Amino acid sequence: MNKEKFAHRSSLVLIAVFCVILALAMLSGFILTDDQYSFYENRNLAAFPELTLDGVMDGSYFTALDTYIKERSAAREGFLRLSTFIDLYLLRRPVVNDVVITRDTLLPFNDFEVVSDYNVNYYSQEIANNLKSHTDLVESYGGSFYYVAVPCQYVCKSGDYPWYLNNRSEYTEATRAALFPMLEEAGIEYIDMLRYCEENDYPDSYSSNIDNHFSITGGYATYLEIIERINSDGKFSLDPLTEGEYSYSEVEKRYLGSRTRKIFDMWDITEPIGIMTVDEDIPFTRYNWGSEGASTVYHIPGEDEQYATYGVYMGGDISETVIKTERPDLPSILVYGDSFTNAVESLIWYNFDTMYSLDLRHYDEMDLESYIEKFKPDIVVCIRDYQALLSPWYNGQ
Amino acid sequence: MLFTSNVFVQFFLPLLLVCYFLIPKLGIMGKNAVLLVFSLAFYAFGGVGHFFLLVGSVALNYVGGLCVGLCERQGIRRLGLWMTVAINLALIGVFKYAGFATGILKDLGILGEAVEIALPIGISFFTFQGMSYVIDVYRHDTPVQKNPLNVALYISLFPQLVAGPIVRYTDIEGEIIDRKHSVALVTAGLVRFMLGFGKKMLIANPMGRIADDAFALVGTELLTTPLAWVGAIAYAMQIYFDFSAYSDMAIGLGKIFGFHFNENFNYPYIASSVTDFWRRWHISLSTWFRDYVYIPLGGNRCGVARQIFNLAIVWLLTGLWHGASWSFIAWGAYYGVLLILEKFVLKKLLDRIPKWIRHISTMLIVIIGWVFFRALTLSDGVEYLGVMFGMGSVDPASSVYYLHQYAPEFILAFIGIFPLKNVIAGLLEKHKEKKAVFIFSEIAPKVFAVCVFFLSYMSLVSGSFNPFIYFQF
Repeated sequence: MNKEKFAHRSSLVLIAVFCVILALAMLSGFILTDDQYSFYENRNLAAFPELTLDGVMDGSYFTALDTYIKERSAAREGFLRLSTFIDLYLLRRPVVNDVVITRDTLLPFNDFEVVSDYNVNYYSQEIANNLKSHTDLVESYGGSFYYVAVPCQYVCKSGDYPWYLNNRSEYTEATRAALFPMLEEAGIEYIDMLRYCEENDYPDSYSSNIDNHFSITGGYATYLEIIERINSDGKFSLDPLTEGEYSYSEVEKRYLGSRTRKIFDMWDITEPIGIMTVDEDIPFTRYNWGSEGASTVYHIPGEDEQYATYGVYMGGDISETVIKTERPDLPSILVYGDSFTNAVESLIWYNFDTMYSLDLRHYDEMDLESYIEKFKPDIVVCIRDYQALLSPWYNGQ
Repeated sequence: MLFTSNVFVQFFLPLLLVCYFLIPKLGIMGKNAVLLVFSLAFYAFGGVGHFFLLVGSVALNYVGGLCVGLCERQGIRRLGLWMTVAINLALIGVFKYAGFATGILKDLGILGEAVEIALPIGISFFTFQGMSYVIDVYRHDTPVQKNPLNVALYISLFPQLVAGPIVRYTDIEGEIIDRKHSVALVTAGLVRFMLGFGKKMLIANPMGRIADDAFALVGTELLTTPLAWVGAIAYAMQIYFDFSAYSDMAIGLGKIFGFHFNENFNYPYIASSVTDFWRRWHISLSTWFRDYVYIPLGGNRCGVARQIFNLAIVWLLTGLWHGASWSFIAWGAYYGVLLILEKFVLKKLLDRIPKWIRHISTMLIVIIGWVFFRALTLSDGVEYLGVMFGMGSVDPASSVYYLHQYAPEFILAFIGIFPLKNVIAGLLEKHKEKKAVFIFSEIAPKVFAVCVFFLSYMSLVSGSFNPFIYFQF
């Protein structure tokens, strides 16, 4: 063997391979996707930067351009998938793309934290004050206000975390210990669904193994608790949906939860997403953002959709939804909160003449108090999950 | 522009390679022109505002070089030298130290407000290169370069422009005018570049995430003693693999274009003393200070007191070179004191200590030094050290998480600090006569480099954490 020739040829091959990699990289830099939204990351991708003199002079324009090319590169999703696969199966990292990987459950990674009693008390008081003012407003015209705290996934599955990760149990307990006595003191009617979970030994069906939200079973349990509380206050007598009055079914498409979504559905774990449809034929008209839409409370994914997501319930987070059933003998209700409201709303509309639904993260036409004053719903329900209990912004305002 | 940016890999490097190698009948001057244009574009990408500063620095040192190189009267030569050095120092003083100095004056109540000036990328590197050129011309170590484009290329040559190594004009003077390109050299350069790329993306960046998280917790109960150690070790790994990766990429790119830059690192974490460490770490800076500060001050050719003074000056300047803050000054002083102690007090004692103890104690000293280097303020550094040495909780949870999460990177880093590559290369060299060994030694590094580069590129595209540490200097 001519060693020099061999070395020369192997060098030429290396140079050729490197050039091919660079050429492909360059090509992927020219083939940029038009998608502005990354489905699996659930976020908007970088926009083409605006050319400004200041940006050129200080270099920020070029940095933004680099980010734009990186995020819009045609090869990006493929690399993201490959990277996730390597982390999951080859390197076996305990946390991949902010998801804690266990055999049966995918959980959110929580930053390590020091629970500050001062902060917990401060924000609890702020939340209690906000809710007190809403309660006073609703009661001023004869309505009733209820605050519903629902445990999110990390609360229900706190025991599934590896010992060295933060399951936020300390924060959860501190929040309960501070907030609920303040609500009681302020005379605010509240329902703590974590108590329901504790009393029922954390039923597996309540929460999801792959999504932050509760399941339809959890939504149903919450619905029943709300109706029971309304009835126990004596102003209304509502017939809750009970077994035999609804049909349970599972959406055919594979359920992509918020956790499986982050890891490109690469972990061999799934669960069905169920829906409960009212057997009785109750016609209703639904308005989304003020416009009439389809008369349904479930978005069943079509042929062109690969997955079902939590958006099955009420069609996802919509700033304002109104459902009118034209049954004036029944009361009206306003439900507001983050996406945990959706599963409850797909059931609770059944008991009301009109159901108003607001998500104040997106709704900006008027503030909550103005909305309540305008429509004067008989019942106002605020649903917040444990992660957001002490957040005084948006739906916590 | 960063080497590990999409624009560099996807556009800059391919276009440069095409222009440099594929434009027909491009002589050395043409190739230099291509390199110069791309180098200036490389710098301008970081902000056109500071690009003019680079051009000004080139012009200053070119004129300074002409003055000290062409004038025959010693007085004018000396004046030219001092003026050039003074203006260089003034530039670096204004852009790098004005904020710090006016901050001190503000704290003393002498000034109302501290000035805030954005730090031009790589100013410490290109200013030192420019000064060394003029000083070398003054000393008659090298003839003056009359072609301004060649001076511009020397100072702004993109591989080493923003993060070193600090290249002396004498090192590449000949190659600017005449250099050879070969398949073997390009291959060696590519392998070096790809491995450097991998060190940065696959080891330094993940280590940086740990260090950033740990150092961000100074002053909170979340910084436990185990986490403080994990964070400090991670930072020690980050800064080595980050900076040496940049040097690897610079040296590799230099080879591709026919330049031979000197090595900047020689496995510093196997050092058996602080003196040994500084012979292995950022060699181009250490030798710069040795040749342009320490020796001119008298070096070792004077009494002990003067030597101590010289060392103190050099290490004060070394600390300041790295950054304008008290923590960098403390870091420089820390090494100054340690080196003085080793040289004048502990030398005989150290010789009697077993080598493994010296290795471990040196690493401990280095890690403690990096804590000052990384901490935002001197008091943060002291507090962090306090937690490392017992003034914090011993809850191991967070440190176990980081060790578990980044186990592959820690393993790679611990392997990477030892000269295993040299050992393997030595073994292969011994048996190179055997056909299989020869084929393996030819193929394996190339395949390995390509795989590392692919994984690194994947990490670049899929990740967003990508800061280069040495850009701030």
